[in-house]
Amino acid sequence: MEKTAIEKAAIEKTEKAAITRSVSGDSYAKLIIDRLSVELNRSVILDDLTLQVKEHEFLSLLGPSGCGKSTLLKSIGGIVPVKSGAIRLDGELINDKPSYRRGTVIVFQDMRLFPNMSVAENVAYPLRIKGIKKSDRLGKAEEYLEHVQLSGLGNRRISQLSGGQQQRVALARALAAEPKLLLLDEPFSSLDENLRGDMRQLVKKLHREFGMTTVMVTHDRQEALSMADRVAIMFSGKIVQTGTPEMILSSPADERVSGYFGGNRYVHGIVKGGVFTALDGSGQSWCVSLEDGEYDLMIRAEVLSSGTDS
Amino acid sequence: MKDREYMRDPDSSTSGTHIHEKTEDRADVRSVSRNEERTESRTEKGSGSRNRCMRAVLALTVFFIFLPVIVTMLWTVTGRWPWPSLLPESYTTRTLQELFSGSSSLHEILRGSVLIATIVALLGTVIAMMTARATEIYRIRGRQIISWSAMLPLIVPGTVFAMGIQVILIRMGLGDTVAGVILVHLVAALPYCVFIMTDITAAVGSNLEEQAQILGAGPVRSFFDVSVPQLLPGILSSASMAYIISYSQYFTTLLAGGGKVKTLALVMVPYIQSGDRALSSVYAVTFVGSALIVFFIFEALIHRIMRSEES
Repeated sequence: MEKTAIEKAAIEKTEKAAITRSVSGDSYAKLIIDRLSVELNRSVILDDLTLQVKEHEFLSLLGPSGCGKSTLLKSIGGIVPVKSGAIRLDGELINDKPSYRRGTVIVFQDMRLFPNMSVAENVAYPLRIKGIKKSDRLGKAEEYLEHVQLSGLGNRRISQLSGGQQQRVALARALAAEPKLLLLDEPFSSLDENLRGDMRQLVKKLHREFGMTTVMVTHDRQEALSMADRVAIMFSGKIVQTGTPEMILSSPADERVSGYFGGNRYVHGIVKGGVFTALDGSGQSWCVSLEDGEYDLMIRAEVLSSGTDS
Repeated sequence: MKDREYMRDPDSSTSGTHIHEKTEDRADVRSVSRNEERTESRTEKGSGSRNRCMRAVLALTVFFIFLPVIVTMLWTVTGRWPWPSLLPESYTTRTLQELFSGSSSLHEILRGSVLIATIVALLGTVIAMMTARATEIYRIRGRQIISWSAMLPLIVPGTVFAMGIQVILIRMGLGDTVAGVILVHLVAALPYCVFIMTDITAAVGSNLEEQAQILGAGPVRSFFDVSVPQLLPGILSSASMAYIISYSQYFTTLLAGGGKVKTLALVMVPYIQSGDRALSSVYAVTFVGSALIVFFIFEALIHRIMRSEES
């Protein structure tokens, strides 16, 4: 079931990616992370990690829980200190820049809306910091609320909103900050499945409208593949593969990546004289153009089908 | 026909049964609804009696709180109140004259007491807030030792502490000064302030402040914009607690102030010890009344700050 969903997502994504790319046009590396290492409580979380994100791009950071995705996002945002390596935004080294001067905004899973402010004041907060007049900033906030389909709810208290509406306010507030880089930390994981679908569409719509370079952390494969222009797969503090969703699906870098998407099978065997022979006792063989030696043959999930021997 | 009759008969009999059943049903419904009414009225009766019981408890509690206050207020103008009279036999304004134009000027004493207690409340809360941040947010090394040592003044008996600190104050040149008294009151109030502020700081956490900084606010701004409004109930409790502790200090004020720094508690206690009930009562009422007025002012100020924050 999941495999089919992932495939569908990949097809949908190809169409959407084409639209996004036409908007973004030719792009340069907005964010460059070079050999980044991060330690927390003396344990290595990010290990010699390298990643590039292009201008206007939507990149998904995908990986299992505890692989360091959120830590990477927080170190880009300036909340987690860097041990070694470099983070460059628009060519500028931002390792030691405090979070409030970086121009990156994180939308957290728990939304972190300010309960002492109304919805409009929450959205207008980044503008208040910039010293924009109250009437102007509240007017702007209303515009951003319209973008996230919450117009007219500006005067409500945060506690009067549903989970989905709160997530929209968090998005609107992030957009109001006009960040150079928008970082989304599993933004939909606290929402139910129906809402999640709506929010994905909304985020993609906003990405098309604002063209903001976006990095989204997720552990939901379908979400990553359907939304992103490129996907970066993370395991144990390292990026193991970066590429378009189609590329990741068709040529996974290693067994872990392929295993993460599920369904693919591996057969251990040897190649001799252009013929791969399985060593699993089945005696099956395939013609290949490889040098002699031991190999693992990957059989993609979509070519496998259940049936009886004819 | 017979057949028809036969056919009709069972029908009619059935329908008759149906009607019968329906009437029974209706009767049942009626009886059920009557039962429900009865149950409802029983529940009403139950909740009614429970409410009455609650009201009685509340009335008793209020009575026992206000009775001593009323008696104390009556005593303030009592000339003679021998046992077993229910009400005083004679009334006097002697106490009020003593209060307003007696040996010690009430106005001056009140001003001094309120000033000292307010400074202690402010300093105590600010220091407690910083201590709580250090231990709960920044999680500095040795934070458990700091939290524990903040409670130390509670362990040492007040008299022992007062005599010890007096020597230190004299050495520091702060003996018999308002600053010295404030310092001593502060030490007495801090354990409570730190306790209150630590709890609320841990509950509020630093997530919202972190978010404000991510949106571009500097550390000071994010603290005042986001954390302070969340901490306000704790700030109010801590300030009130420090205020009342300072306001009611007698022995420490006597030692640190050397009798030169006069507070309401310092003037009031000898009257209470002397056994002049009328004068003790007038000072007691002044003490409680002035403390309450200051609390109302604190609360009003906090609300005003919150309102201006919102607008």
